[in-house]
Amino acid sequence: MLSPTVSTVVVEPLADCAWLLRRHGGADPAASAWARTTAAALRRLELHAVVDVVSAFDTVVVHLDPSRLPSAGRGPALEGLAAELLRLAHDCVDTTPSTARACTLPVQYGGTAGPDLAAVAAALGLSEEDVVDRHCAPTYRVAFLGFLPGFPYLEGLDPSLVLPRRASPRSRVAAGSVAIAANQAGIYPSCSPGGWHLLGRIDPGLALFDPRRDPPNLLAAGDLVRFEPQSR
Amino acid sequence: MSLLVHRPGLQTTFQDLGRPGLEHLGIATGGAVDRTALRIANWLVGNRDRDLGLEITLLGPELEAETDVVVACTGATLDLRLDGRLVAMGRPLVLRRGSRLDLGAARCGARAYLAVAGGLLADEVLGSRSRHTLANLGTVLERSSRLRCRPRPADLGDAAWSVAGAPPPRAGHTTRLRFVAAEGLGNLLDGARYRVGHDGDRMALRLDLLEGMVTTATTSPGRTTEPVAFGTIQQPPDGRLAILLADRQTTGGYPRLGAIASADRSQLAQLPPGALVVFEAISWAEAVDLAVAHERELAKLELAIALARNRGARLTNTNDPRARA
Repeated sequence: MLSPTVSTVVVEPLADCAWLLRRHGGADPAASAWARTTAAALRRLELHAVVDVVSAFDTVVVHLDPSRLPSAGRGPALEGLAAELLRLAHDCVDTTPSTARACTLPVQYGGTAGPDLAAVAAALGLSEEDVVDRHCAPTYRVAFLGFLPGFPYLEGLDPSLVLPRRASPRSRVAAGSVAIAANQAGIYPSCSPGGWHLLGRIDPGLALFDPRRDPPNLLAAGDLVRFEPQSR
Repeated sequence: MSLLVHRPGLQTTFQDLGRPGLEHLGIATGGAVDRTALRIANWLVGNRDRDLGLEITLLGPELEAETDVVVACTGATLDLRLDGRLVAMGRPLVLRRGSRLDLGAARCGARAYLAVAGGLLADEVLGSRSRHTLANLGTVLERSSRLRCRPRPADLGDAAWSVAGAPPPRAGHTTRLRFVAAEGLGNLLDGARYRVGHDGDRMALRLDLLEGMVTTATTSPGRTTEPVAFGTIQQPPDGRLAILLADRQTTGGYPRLGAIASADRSQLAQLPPGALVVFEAISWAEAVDLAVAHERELAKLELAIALARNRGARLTNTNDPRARA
């Protein structure tokens, strides 16, 4: 059995052919490091039935191809696959290299670039300058990429900036928008619908996602990101 | 070899089987929403199942063959006309140079697929030629454009056989979708009937509650974002239901009720606006069994189509008048 200091990982269905490994014990940097490392390790295995492995804060999803699952002896084979995935997930330790890439992104805060800055400040009882300072202070870690191509989910947001998502999302968020919601920070790589609070915008020439580039994403899971206010 | 586009249709996009394996970069697989229908259309014209075709939504294009070409149309039941004459779907059709094919309006279902022998040609981006609306990859069909395909001899006579599946869902009628409930939740949709809204797209189907009571899963400010899949059923705060489709986001933070069984993916893809839906919860194990069985049946169908095409080709090559089936 697992010792009490090790978090439990269980497998549950996201969908019939998308198996979700969940690490109990809450979403914290240790959990997302586990998720990142486990997903990378599972992808490296290149298991025949596995199409993709995706991670988030404390979850890893293994997407399976049903045409590659055995039709005979399936019950035991699937239990065996689940057991192997769990064993690997339990054994994973954080292998994020200490030399993960770091970057600093200049941000135009407030005004038309950050239409929610004033409302966020008001909701938190802070000045706009305070919000900007607290947003720029941490070094964020890219926990994973999701939602949209190239969208980085950043962890490390100051707890005093936690706010629920907007009650009604915008149908159109400008590309490069720097945003927060709940305890997450992110950057919209392209124009899309969005329900996060928009604090500012990065240089429009900086493409977080370019399908013709190799690799297509500017940021990878594990990278470090800092923001700095750009003078107008 | 090419076809001229006289009318592009309501929303016609190039689709193949998408870009699997890039979800961890935030790029959902995409591709044909009704994968099965595209695969069958491709098999009918002798293509690989992953060759590029057209996905037609509700109202299709009008095309003119500039060379002799073999096509097939599957999925939603369209008012399909070749030079004004109503023709059956689900079989290979020979278009002689100058023929016009009008893909018309969908009488049942929502999405039809047109495959052209040889496969359509378009730029490949990140391993696929599919149009992905959220990521803005690939192209939409435009008026006066040309569909180009790889050269293939149109050596088939008109087939006397066709492939037909269960009739697709229609507005006003009820479809039952099987789903696997999210861990720890029972069937929160038990006894509820929903209606498909008009604002769905390739990202998601949107449904409104018509009858019954539904327990609302709660949202908290700290709710953690998790990966999602094709068929994930979400409950956004506005009380409607969203079911994620091909061009969905790869992760989501809304309450998740479960996911539609892979075996019912085609039914899901074919729900037109106004269709009614009820949900039946099945076990994870049963859903996997159904998914595997479905793939097995498709493998058999692929073989049967190949054999029928072979027979057809041989028959038209003989001089025996009885062979003109």
